[in-house]
Amino acid sequence: MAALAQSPPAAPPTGAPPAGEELAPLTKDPALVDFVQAVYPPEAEAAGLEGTVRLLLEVDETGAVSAVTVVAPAGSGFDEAAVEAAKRFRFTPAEDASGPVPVALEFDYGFTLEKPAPPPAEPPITVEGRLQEMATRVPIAGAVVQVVLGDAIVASGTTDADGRFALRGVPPGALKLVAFGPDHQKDTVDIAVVDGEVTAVSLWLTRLSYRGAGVVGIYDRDRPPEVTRRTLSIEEVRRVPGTFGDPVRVIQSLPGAARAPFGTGLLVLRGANPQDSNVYVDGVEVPLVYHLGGFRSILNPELIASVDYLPGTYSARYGRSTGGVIDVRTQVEYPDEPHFTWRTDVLDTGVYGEAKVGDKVGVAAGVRRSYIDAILAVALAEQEFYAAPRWFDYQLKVEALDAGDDELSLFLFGFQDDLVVRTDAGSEDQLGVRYSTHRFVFRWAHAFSDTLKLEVQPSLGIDGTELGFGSDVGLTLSAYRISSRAALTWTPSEAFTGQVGLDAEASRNDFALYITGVPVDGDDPLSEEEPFEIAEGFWQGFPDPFAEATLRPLDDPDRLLVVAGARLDAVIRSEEPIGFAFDPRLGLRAEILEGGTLKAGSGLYHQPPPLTDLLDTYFERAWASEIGWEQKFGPAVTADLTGFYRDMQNLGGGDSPGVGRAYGGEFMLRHALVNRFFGWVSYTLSKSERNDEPDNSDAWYPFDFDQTHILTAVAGYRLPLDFEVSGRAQYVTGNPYTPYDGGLYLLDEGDYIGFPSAATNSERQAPYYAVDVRLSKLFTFKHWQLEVFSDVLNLVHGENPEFILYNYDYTDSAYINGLPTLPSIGFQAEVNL
Amino acid sequence: MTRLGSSFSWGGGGPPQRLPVFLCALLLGCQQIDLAEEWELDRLRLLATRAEPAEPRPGDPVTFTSLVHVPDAAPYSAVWFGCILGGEAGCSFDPALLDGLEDLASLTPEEQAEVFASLQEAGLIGLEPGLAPAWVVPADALDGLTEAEALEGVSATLQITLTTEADTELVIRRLPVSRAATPNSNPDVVSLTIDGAATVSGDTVTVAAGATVDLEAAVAALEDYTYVTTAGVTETRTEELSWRWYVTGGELGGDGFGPPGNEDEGALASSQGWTAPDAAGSHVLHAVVLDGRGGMGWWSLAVTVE
Repeated sequence: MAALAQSPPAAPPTGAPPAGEELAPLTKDPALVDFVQAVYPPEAEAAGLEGTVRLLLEVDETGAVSAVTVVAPAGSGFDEAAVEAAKRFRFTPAEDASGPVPVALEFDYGFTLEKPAPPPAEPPITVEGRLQEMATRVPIAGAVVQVVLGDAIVASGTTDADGRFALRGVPPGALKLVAFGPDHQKDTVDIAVVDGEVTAVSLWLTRLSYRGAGVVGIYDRDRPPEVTRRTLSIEEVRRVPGTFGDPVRVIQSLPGAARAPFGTGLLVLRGANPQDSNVYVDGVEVPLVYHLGGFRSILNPELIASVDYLPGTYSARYGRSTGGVIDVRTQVEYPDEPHFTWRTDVLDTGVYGEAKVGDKVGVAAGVRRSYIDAILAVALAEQEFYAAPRWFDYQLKVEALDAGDDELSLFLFGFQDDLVVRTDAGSEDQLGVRYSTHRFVFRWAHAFSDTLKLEVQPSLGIDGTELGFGSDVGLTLSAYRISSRAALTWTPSEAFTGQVGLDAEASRNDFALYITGVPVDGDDPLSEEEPFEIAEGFWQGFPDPFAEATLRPLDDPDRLLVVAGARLDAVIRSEEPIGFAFDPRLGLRAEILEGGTLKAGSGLYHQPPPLTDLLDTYFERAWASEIGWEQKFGPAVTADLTGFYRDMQNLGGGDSPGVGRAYGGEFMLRHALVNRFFGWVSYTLSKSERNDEPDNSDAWYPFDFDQTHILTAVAGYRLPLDFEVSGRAQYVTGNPYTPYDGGLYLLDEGDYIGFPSAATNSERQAPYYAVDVRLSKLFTFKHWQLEVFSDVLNLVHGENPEFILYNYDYTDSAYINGLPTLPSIGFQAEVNL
Repeated sequence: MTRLGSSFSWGGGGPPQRLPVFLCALLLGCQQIDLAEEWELDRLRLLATRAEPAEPRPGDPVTFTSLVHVPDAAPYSAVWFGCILGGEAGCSFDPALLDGLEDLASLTPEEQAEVFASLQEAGLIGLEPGLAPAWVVPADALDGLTEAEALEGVSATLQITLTTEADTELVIRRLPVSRAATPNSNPDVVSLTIDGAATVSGDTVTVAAGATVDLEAAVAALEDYTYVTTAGVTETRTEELSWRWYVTGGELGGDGFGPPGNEDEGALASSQGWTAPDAAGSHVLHAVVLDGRGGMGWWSLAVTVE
């Protein structure tokens, strides 16, 4: 850096009297009070030149410089710079016996370049080392490391990005090394520093909390736009009681989801029938989201990154359903070192691992097997008949980690579920049911530029269903699926995103049915029986294109979002006419007030007929609309109020289709995980009903899972020492049912046909209420962590009828109630190699 | 037998949605549900109706005997209708015709005859007590059928309404009508033993209070018959029996797992454990056998528990 230095006056000041006058002697010399730095001429500075300019300054009686004359120039721009600076000097006025007088004086203005100061002599490094996090082995950056002697800190430093530190000048002797960080507990070790040697220290710090900061129910701008997406972050929702640690199960604690009877795992979203909602894994449709019994979702929780819960008015990217959508998203962040998880509880055991293979490939794999059937086999050893679920699932994901503008991944996953039925004490027979699903997904995404991206995701799949009841009845259903999602996304600016895509599937469906004896005349109980066997197969296809435009027209792109899309639905089945439908959809989000967002959406949704209607290509359709308001209250609290209406038409197809409607409101008040606390209250007020005689306005009746009030409260608190306690309370209106009173006895069959005593689904079961709690403790070791947890379901509960049973002649009835208080325990170990 | 009251639809591209519900019911089914069992006789019941002949031809007269349980031997009435083309809900007629029966006693004999005539025209074949059920199979019952179809026959419908002051039982029973060369005959229960000791139908036996005894009922033989399949193949088949046990007290099923009706198909005999009530009293016990072709038989005992 250049610096300026001024020289003292080169000559004593002299007065400047008119010519010929005698100068009176000065009684006070002028003194420079305001020195002005000259601009160092850049060329001279660049050339490393220095110089001194001798100036003659004329200072008036006020002390101002009235004239500057170069007496001895230095050139190279120094003269001009010196003159400009000197003009702005101020002096104290010179005085003689008469008072202040003007004077002239010489001034040497020197220009010198500042020489960098030589570095001080640095003491040698005497203590060095590295900080890593317990269990994860992640280097701790930015942590403070101090060497302490008694109460005095004799050396201090911070860790670099690799967690390393080096301290100098530590005196020899027995000392203590203290390390701590903003997210880690303080730890102290004794060290011995020897003069002339470097003491190496490796220290492991425990994180203040290993619980991640999860979020529930927020709008995530980085995800594809939806009017209402309740995105679940895994670390938080896995700790909701009653979920058995499965993030997908937390859906039933969110607004818009009806309570499914225990053990069913049915998805009832905004009053829609379970079969009207679709389930996806990374955008690939799967037939089930839960294993048999509804205890577990079909994916290992470690692989699940988020669960997109779209209860209604979702975008054109999803189709073929009139209800809601659940899309389970997988994502793996491959650690530098292999990471393994082992989880065991009363239901099943699963292991999962993820690792990098070299620098360019990441691999994640998991497998899980249940044994609740084995437990029940022991617990119910004396019972002649029982049924229990058995499941197995696997996942394998391989990703390219550094493929430039490309993203490549392979994902193989599947499951097999059996309903194990034991019919005689001591013997077990797998008559019953077997489901299996397998998917192989290839994903390739390529960024042609910053604005144009192509994503292609073809997949292959096999679904199988086998039903067997001894040797008398056998049914097999097989579906071989080829599907593909493809989308070309163009984002010319932040204000606009356009996307065109294809959501296509073709499948070969085969079924075979064998029954030992079927009445030749099915209406006649005395009819002779003959064996019945049929094997058929057919193709079906859904080549559905879609297009969507996302507008963010305001300067602040978060203030207004408009999503307009459309989808063409087609259903093609062997030898049947092609069915078409068109789904326009529109969504809006506008931040109208500070932290307050208005959201609205409306759209048409079509659903092809189920396979049981294989000889038809009709569509059920629903017009779904919603409007709501989201409000943030500070950094932690969010409220969401949404009203919805869904009009359903052509239910069941055929000549006399039914109609339906579902409407209501949803409210959610949520406290994000801040200051160790998280929780939410959700309330759904809804009505869903259908009419099989659309011309008869009196023929409306509730859907089977119409639940007027669904109130859920979830709260969790992180205690010190990595204890965590959480609870869930739920109140739900009882499901409707049709009452019966007596019946008609069919003597030959030995069976009664019940007489409905009131309209369909006109009565309701008693309401459901229950409180679940969960307590967990995390133990952290150098290379691994162990979490031990206990869920207590129905700690407080009502009778909670799930089903109503009638006696043989419908003259008496009783409820099958939900489970009693049910504790369960388990553990999860995570190991970093 | 207990029944699941709710109904759920199958559908969707995936597995049937009914299964999870079924599974849930099974998982929760370990609960003790205290509902009346089908074998437990505690209300008005029609347990069996035996037609003679068991498989009439068109124009044949048919008589009926019934096994009815009436609590406390209360008086009851039974109205019988018969028709060839009855549906699951029974024979079709104007229900207003039954109104005339309510005021029957106040009618003159001529008016009563007129009411009966109207009812018989509508299909009335019995009105107990008083008019024992009897039916002449319409001569045109098999008209319009091919010869092969006539050999197989049709099932006529009998609609029976039992009434006491306190209870009503509605029953539908089928009666095969054909031109079969070897028509079906009713199965006859030929024995019922209690712990191996023979009994006589209609007799009274004594069982110690709280005792568990082994019951076994049997028929003499199974009938063979000829059946022509829809593919035209002539088969000789053997009828398969099903058994139903009924009792007014105690616990049927030995260990308490007596399946409702205790159907034991395909065997000549049916065995059943019965635990007598702890309290002394009088009970009745029935073993009913059905041959699946419209034939029925039974064995009844009066049981004194002491």
